[in-house]
Amino acid sequence: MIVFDHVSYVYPGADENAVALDGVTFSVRPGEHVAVLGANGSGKSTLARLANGLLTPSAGRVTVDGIDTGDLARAWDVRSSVGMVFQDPDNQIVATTVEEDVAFGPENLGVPAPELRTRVDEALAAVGLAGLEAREPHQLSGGQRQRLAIAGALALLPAYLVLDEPTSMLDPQGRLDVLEAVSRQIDAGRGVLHVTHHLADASVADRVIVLTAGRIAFSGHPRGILGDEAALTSLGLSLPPIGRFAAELRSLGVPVPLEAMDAESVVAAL
Amino acid sequence: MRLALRDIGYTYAQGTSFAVRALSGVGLEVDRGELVLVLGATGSGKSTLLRIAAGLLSPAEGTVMLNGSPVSRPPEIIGRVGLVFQSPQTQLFAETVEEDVAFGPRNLGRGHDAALEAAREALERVGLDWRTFGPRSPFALSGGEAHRVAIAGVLAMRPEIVLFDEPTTGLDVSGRRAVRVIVEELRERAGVAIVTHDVEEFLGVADRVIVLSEGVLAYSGGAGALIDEPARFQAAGLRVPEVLRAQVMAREAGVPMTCFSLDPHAAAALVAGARERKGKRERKR
Repeated sequence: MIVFDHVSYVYPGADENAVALDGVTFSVRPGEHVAVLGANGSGKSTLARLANGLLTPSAGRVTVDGIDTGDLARAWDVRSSVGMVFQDPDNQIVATTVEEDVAFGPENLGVPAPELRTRVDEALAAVGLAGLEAREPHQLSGGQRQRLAIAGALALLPAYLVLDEPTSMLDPQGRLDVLEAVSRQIDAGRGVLHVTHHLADASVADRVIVLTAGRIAFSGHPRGILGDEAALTSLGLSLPPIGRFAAELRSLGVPVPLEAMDAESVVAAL
Repeated sequence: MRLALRDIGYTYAQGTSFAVRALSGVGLEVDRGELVLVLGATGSGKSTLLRIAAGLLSPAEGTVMLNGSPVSRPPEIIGRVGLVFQSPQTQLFAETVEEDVAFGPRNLGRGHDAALEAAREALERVGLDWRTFGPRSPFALSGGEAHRVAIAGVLAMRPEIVLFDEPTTGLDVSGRRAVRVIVEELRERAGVAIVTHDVEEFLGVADRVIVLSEGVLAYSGGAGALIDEPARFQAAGLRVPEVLRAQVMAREAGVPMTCFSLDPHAAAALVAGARERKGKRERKR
């Protein structure tokens, strides 16, 4: 379990009143999908970086399966159990072919050749890129490159994945492909902490945390917030067009469920 | 001013074994006061077309014209046609916001005072008070502010046509709203073309749309004809916007839809109305 226990963070050199994260407490269990929403500057990315020890708290504690991320002697254990995927896939692709890129992490750790092959094959299959092993990463679409970045994280067999706006630079199809790859990892028992500003991405999570100015303004099932347009607006969030369409249909007497955030689930209610 | 691209063709790494054909026979016209949307799947040639329109790439085939006269040297366009890149805030570099925004006009040889004045005007235009923001470091801004400063850097050159490459990528609600306001205000005085995946944000306000598919023109015309025939999106390898897809699915499920809308409120009224008509008809029987 990833546990944030009253975590605060102030960036070095920043005014001490400019708290990026302020007393945040929550946890992510194995197999659980926790989405973190918030406007730009609300502390979402800071939270993601605290989850695997890239940053350590100014106050409070972050633990991963009981290990304190501030314990430098165990830093590697933390990093290897929490895989991290960032917004721009091009910043995290290092090799000249797809398979070499996925192999980079485990190879660096000295994973022997036969196992390395298995890990690369399984990671690529998990994200739907099997068959593209010999491609050059720049020949892939944005969505494929982001899935390649996820495969690179998976090859280290992490227990958790932390995703920092993994779909925000992708076209609509690329976004759906990435979300599908993520949902397969949750089914496989990995805990996922997914930072996003797409409400539709968050609607499928087990739990949603909304941050404003570094504090948790809401924590609970997506249903608890998705139906409340006024609350969303006050938190700097807005429903995607399909969500506004569903809300309008509800007000016209069509029983569309609150978490319906795609055409299929809205039309099913007709 | 009117920018017109005719029969544009472009091949990357021409003459090598890595040659990639990016565009063939594509046209684009943007007039003062117009908002033109350029849609297309990843790799369809949208960004290449924008770079040619902005004078950053010379087309291998075809002509670029300003007010009806062919432009012989693409750099002649620079300053008159401005291009706002995707995630432009990553290109901020100067010590102060004002210096950063003034760089463009100064680089065009417009003199210190004129450049400064243009920078201050551009900052106001993107909704940032120059007295407050001018002296700040561009690296001490919020994401949304940095994005607007970067747009101001292009507007300070006082371009007559402004091109945007994916202007809403990575922005939250208020950032997207700020971009919409800037674009709407800009089209009053200049021509605007936007390359985007964010069909839902801009299709409703566009005067014209072109759709690229694998480097060729798949559609050119009004937004209405695209909305009425969502299959055109699919034909160009684009995903149909979700609200539109829901209406198509509703029709396939037997709701007697007569037309579609991209606007969520109007679309809901159309679907609910059609569903009611169907209910009444069934009750009569």
